[in-house]
Amino acid sequence: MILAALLNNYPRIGDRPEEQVLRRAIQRADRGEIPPEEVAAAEDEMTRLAIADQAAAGLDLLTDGQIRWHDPVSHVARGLAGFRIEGLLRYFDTNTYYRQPAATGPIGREKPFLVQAYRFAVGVAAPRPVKAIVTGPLTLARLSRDTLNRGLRDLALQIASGLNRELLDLEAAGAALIQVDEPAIARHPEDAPILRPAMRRLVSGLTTARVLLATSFGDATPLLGDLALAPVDLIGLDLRPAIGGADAGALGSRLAGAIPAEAGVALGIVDGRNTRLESAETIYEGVARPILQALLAAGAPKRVVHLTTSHGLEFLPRDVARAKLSILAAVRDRARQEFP
Amino acid sequence: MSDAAAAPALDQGLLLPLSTIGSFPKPERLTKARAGVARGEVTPDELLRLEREETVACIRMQEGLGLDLLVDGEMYRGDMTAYFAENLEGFRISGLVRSYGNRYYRKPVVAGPVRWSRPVTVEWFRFAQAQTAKPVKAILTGPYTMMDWSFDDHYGSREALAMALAEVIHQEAVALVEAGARYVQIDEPAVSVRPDEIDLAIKAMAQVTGGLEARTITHICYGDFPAIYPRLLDLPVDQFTLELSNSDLGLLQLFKTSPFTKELGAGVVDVHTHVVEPVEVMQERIRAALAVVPAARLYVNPDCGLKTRSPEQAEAKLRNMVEATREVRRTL
Repeated sequence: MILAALLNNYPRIGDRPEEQVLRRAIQRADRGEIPPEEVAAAEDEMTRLAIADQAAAGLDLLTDGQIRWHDPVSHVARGLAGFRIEGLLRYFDTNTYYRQPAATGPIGREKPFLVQAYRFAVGVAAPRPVKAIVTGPLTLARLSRDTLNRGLRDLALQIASGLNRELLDLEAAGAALIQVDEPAIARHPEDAPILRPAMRRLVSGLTTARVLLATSFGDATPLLGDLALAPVDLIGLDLRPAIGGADAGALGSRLAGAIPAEAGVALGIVDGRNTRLESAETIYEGVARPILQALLAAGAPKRVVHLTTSHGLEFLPRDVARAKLSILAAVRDRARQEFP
Repeated sequence: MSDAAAAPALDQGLLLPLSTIGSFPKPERLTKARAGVARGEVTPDELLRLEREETVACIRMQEGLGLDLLVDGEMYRGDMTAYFAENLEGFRISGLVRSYGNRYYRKPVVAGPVRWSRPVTVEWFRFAQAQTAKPVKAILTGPYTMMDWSFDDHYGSREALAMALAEVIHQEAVALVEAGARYVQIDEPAVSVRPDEIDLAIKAMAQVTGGLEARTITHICYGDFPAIYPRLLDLPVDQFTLELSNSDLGLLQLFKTSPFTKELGAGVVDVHTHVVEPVEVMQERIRAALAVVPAARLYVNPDCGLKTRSPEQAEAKLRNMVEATREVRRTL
């Protein structure tokens, strides 16, 4: 089964007036001209537009575009107890920033903080399915300030326990697929030994929801052994840096050799960080096809494959983001012809 | 033809020369006029007239405060990348992209070969220098940062794009020197963010500063300095203006691990806080820098450009910086 999906976030603005409602609402709220509920209404509206763009492109599995998220780090830390949100830091090698959480107390979770937005997105996207997304414990621990000197392992495990309650609530709200974003792991391969225990805590007690562990911001394929041992159903990879100058077929063989036949994969094949529009045919022939041939070869013909953007598309202008979604859907169509 | 002989230079023997990083806050009437031009309600000529008036006012303020190496204040520039992208061949400007929070900008897109067909900043340099007997520092955005902060639809290689930009920026720098600039600062804030590409940043800077008959300066801020130090010192420039205050002078600790061999423009004013630091705090910062870099190689400046502060805050911070520097000079 081959599906097309946006990795996570999507532009919350565009050049058309109706695509600027959220920016205007926040500006007006900052000036005290409108109450916070009107900002929430604007977030709803931009979420509808993000979902509409994905549906129009023909994606199979949608996200809410993370329109309500200030950034991938502080949004989740705010939902947990034990964090104080501090100043701006650069987010990996992007020209964007996140607010750094400081882990100042025992980490816990008092009430659901992602469930309402998930339910809203499901209602808008129906009948297309929506994946729930949470930033993972390793990335949160890595990008937070560890004020109590707990050490990365203990902090990550405490965050995993807190987030576990959110995952259980998302499952109870009907989430069939929960994506755990771990963008930090490719840059910090030394953290790999924490991956398995943290994921075990994170997914503990889930019964029906499947879990996708998604990496980005670098080549996580050197960690395939660790990723394959994590208690998750699908593994997501940013294939752009993984291929580099090498041969896609060889990469496919490496993936097929390391990822168990029963595990699904999410392949980040459409570049989410640059405006250049490669043709679907170029991506299919040069990247997707050789890798699918290896991954779906004898032994794993039923493997679930998500074709995704390499990153969220928030770094791109909206017109380019839309075009990338269309390219992704076209690559999926070509793949389905050959691997029905 | 070069008219460099006419341009003033810093006095030989002046200790702790006072300068700034480049940008100053734009007065409200300028912000409104820029928006007005976008809406077609203000003519470009009217905007230019205001930009010139505010540039003169900015120079007068710097002279009045007692700075030694002045800047034009960048009243005519918006974003430091977009300004050059709008004025060089090969770029187009994209739709809106989020910077952070509720801030958005139009990120440049390299759509074809980048080329220098005419001077971009030279007229502004001449205009600013004509207003003052003190030297004016010319400010350019560096090739590595221009590359890293643009989308690339054309080159398909970070190195190819960075080196093409380096040639273009070199041509602009040569034109500035021919117009009399003795001090040229090439800003490279992106260098501290990708330690793995420091070699490319150095190669590109060598292209920019190679053969340039001027004092060369680079400004870098807010990043992972431990990962690139001391390799950073191989950037072929005479001086580094660096952010010290926002990181609680952490960089000075780093310079104790390996000697800082170039001139240091020490950032003694945190531009990211509304608080105007007291003179005593800035004195301490200058003295801390003197413990690492000798007075003969030390300049004093804010951490970064002042454009994010209000005009009143910027002036108050600079006033304290000047006073703190004068106090320290007396003890040298």
